[in-house]
Amino acid sequence: MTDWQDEAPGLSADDLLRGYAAMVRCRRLEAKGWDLVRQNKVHFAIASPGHEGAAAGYALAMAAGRDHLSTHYRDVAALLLLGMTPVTLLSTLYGNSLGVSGGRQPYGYWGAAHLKVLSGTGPQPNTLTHAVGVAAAAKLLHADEVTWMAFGDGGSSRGEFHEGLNFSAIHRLPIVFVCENNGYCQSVPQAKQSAQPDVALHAAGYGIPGVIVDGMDVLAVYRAARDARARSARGEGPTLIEAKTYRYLANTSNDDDRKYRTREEVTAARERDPIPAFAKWLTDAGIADAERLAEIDAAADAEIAEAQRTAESAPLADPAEAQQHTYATAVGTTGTGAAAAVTAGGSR
Amino acid sequence: MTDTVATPPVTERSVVEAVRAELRALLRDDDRVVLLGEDIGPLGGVFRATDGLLQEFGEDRVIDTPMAELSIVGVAIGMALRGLRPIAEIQFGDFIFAAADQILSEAAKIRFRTRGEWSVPLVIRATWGAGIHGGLYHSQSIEAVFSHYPGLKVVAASNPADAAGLLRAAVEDPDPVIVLEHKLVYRKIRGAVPDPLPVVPIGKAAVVRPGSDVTVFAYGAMVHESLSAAERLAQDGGPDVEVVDLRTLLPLDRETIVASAARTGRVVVVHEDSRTMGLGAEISAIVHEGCFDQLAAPVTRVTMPDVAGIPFSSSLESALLPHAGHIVDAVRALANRHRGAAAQPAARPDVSSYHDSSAPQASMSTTVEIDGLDDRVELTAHLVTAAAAALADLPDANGYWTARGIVHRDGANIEVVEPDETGTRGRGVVVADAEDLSPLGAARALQRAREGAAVTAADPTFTLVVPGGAATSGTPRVRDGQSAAVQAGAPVAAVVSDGAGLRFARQITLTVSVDHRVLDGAGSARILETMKRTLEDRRS
Repeated sequence: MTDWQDEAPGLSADDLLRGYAAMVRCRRLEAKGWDLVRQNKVHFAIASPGHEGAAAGYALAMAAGRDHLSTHYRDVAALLLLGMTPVTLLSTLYGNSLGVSGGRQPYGYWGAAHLKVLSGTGPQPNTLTHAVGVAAAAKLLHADEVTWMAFGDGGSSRGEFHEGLNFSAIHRLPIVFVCENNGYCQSVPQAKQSAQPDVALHAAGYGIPGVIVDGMDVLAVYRAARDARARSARGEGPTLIEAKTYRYLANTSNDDDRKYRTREEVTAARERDPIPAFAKWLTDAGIADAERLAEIDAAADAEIAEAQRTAESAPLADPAEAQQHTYATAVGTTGTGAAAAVTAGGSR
Repeated sequence: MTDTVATPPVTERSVVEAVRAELRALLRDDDRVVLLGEDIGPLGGVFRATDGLLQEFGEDRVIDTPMAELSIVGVAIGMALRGLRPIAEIQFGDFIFAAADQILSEAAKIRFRTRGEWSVPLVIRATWGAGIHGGLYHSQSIEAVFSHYPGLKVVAASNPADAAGLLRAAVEDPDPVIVLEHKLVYRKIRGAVPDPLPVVPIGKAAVVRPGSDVTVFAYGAMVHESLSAAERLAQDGGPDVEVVDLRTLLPLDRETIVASAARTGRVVVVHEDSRTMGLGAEISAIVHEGCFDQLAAPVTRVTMPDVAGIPFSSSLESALLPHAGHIVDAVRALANRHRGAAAQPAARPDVSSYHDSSAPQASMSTTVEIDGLDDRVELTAHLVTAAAAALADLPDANGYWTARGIVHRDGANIEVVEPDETGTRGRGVVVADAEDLSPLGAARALQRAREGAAVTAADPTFTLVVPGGAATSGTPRVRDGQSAAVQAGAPVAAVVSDGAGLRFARQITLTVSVDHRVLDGAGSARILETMKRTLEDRRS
C-alpha cells in the first residue's frame, strides 16, 4: 500500500507535502518578485523557477539544524524548506531592514547563521571552498553533520571548483556538491563552457563519485542526495551530484534571454516543469488529492501576498548602520561614524 | 636547522625561531588552532617556520595542502566560519594573488555583508620582502594591496618579540589578519623574546629610537636600514633621528604617527614597496591631516622606484632597494628644509669646489619650477638643453679669460658634472653643440659621453652640475679655462604663492657663478633667465 516509499525512502507523507509546498511557494514568491521589478518597486531579482525540484530535492535530504549549506542563488525552495520566511526573502528583494543582512546584500546572496546557511557572494562559486572548510572543521571536531554546496554549471568553469573538489576528495570530507546544470551560464551555453556536457564527469578526476540526475524530478534529486549524505556520514567522502535542470526566466531581471535562446526551447522545457510533475506523482501515489494540492497552492498565494505587504511596509535599513560591522571592534577611520569618512583632510 | 621546537633554547631567538615557537604555543594552548599551507608538514616549511609541528600535533592540525593558494585561503575561511582558528601559510607572498579573490572579496567582507552574523577569525601568514636574491617572484612587497581593503588587518614585524606577539594577537583577533613575515629578517635579526610573551596589540606602532629632529617611519627590514641611518647620522653629528616601527599597517597607528611628526616637524617614510599608492602616501596624508601646522617641511618618501619587479641580479636588486645611505641623504636634505622656503644651502661641501680656480667670481640664484620632470636622467637632459640655450643667447659665456684676453669659442661646450654618493666628487662628461642638444639629443649625447665616446669639444667653457646620486645644493666655482658654472640643486617641493593662493610646486634652485673678468652680473642674470625660461616654457 505504500509503494511510493521506494521512490521517497525515509520521507513521510508530510515531508513530501512540505517539499511540494516549498516548491509552490518559491514559484509564487518569485512571480511576485518579477512583478515588483516591472512595477519599479524593487531594483533587481534573480530567478529560481525551474530549479525548484533540484533545490527542494537536496534540502529534503539535509539534516536540518545540523548540516551547513551554501546555496545556489536559485535555491529559494531549499531556503523555505529550511525555515527562511517569505517575509525575509521578499524584504531582501526590497533591501529593507527585515531582509537577509538587513539590506546589505541583494536578492540571491543568501545566508542565515541560525539556519546554518553560509553567506553567499557575488563571484560564483567562491563559497565552494568555504563549504569545504566547514566540512574539514566538522571532521576535525568529530561533529555529526554533513555540509552541502549547491552551485550552477557556470561555477564548474572556475578554479574554485577544481581546488575545492580536489581538497575535499584528498581528505574524504563530509560534503555533498550539488551542481544545478540549467545549460546556460547567464547567456553562454554549456557547449561553450566545456567540451563535454556533463559536469559530473569531473568527479572521476578527483577520485569521487559523480552522479547525474534529472533535476526536474524532485525525488530523483532527493534520492541521490540522500545516498551522498549517507556516504559522507560513513566517512567515505564527498559526492558530486549534477542535477540537469532548466531556468524558465531570464538569468536576472536585467537579462534578456531572447538574445541567446529560442522561445521554442523554453516552451519545450516547460513541459518538464518539476511542480506539475511532482503534483501528479503525489496524486498518483495517493498522498494528496487535487483538492489538497489546490489548498496548498491557495495557501501559498495568501502567504506570499501577506508577506509582500509586510515587506513593502518594513523600514529601510538605518543609515547610521552603514559604517558598522567592518570589524568586530571599530578601528582606525572606520566604524567611527560619518566624521572620519566625510571630513577629508579631517579633524583627527 | 639543528634546533627543534621540542627544546626551545633560550629567550634569545631569530625571528623565524620566534614564529615557530609561537606557532607551537598556539597549537598547544588552543585546540581550535589548525595550520595549513604548502610544505609545512615533514619539511617544516621552506623557511622551517613549522619545523617539528607535524610530528608533535599530527596531520589533522598541520595540514600539507595542494599547491593551490585559492583553496588554502578559501578552506581556511570555511574552517574559521565553523569555529576553528586556522592559520594559513602563503609560502611566498608573491603567490598570494591566486588567493586574492578569497581574501579581498570574501574574508574582508563576510562580517560586513552579514551584519556581523558570520565572522572570519582567520590568520594568513605570508612571507614578503626583498634582499634575498629571490627574483621577481620571491621578493615582492604586497602590503599596499591588502592594506587598502577595509575588513582586513595587516601586520609586519621587524624583530622576534614583535613577530611572536603580533602572531598571537592575530590569532586572538576576531577578524582576518594578514601577518607579513619578512624573509630577510627571518634569520638576520635576533633578539630577546620575553617569557611569558606579551601580546603585541594590533594597531600600535613603536618608537624604536627616540629622536628630536626628523622622524623616520618604517616597517619590516627597512626598520633596520633606518636605525643604521640614524646611527650613522649621530656619529657624523647630523640630525637626531626618531625611528618609528609601524608594526601594524592596517589600521595604522594615527596617534603615534601624528605625535612623533608633530614633535619633530620633519618626516621621512621608508618602504621597500614601490612608491605610487604605497603606504608612504597614506602616512603623508595622516601627517598632513594631523599636524600640518607643526610641519617644517613636506613629507619625504624613500621607496623603491615605480618599477615592475625586483630583478634577480644582486646589482640590479640593490640598485632599486632603499638602504641606509638613501635614508641618510633624505634626512639631511629634509633637515635643511624650512617651511615656505626653497632648500637652504647644504652643510656639505660644494660639489665643484674641488676645482682649483684663481678666478674672481660672483654668484646669483633663482628657483625654477620643474613639475613633470621627475626622472633624474630626463631632468639632466633638459638642464643641458637649457644651458645650450643660454650659451646661444650669450656668446660671451662660451669663452674664457686668458692673460692675452678673452678667447671666444663656437657653439656650446658644456661639461656636465654628476655628483656621486659622497657629493664631493663629480663625474664629468662633455657634450657639444655639434650634437643635437634638444632634450632627446642631449640625453643621447650624455649617454654616448658616459660610455666614453669621442666628443667634439675637448675644452668645455661651461660647467653644469646636475642633481646626482646625492642631494646637493650650493654655490659652484668656475674652473680655470671656463666662463661660468651653473649648479642645479636637488628637486624639492615648495609652497608657492602665485596670486591665486598657495600651492605646492616642485622646484630646483639654479645657482650661477661667473668669472668676473668674462661676464658681469647682467650676464649672470641672463644665463639664469634663459635657463629658467627654457625649463619652464617646456610646460606650455
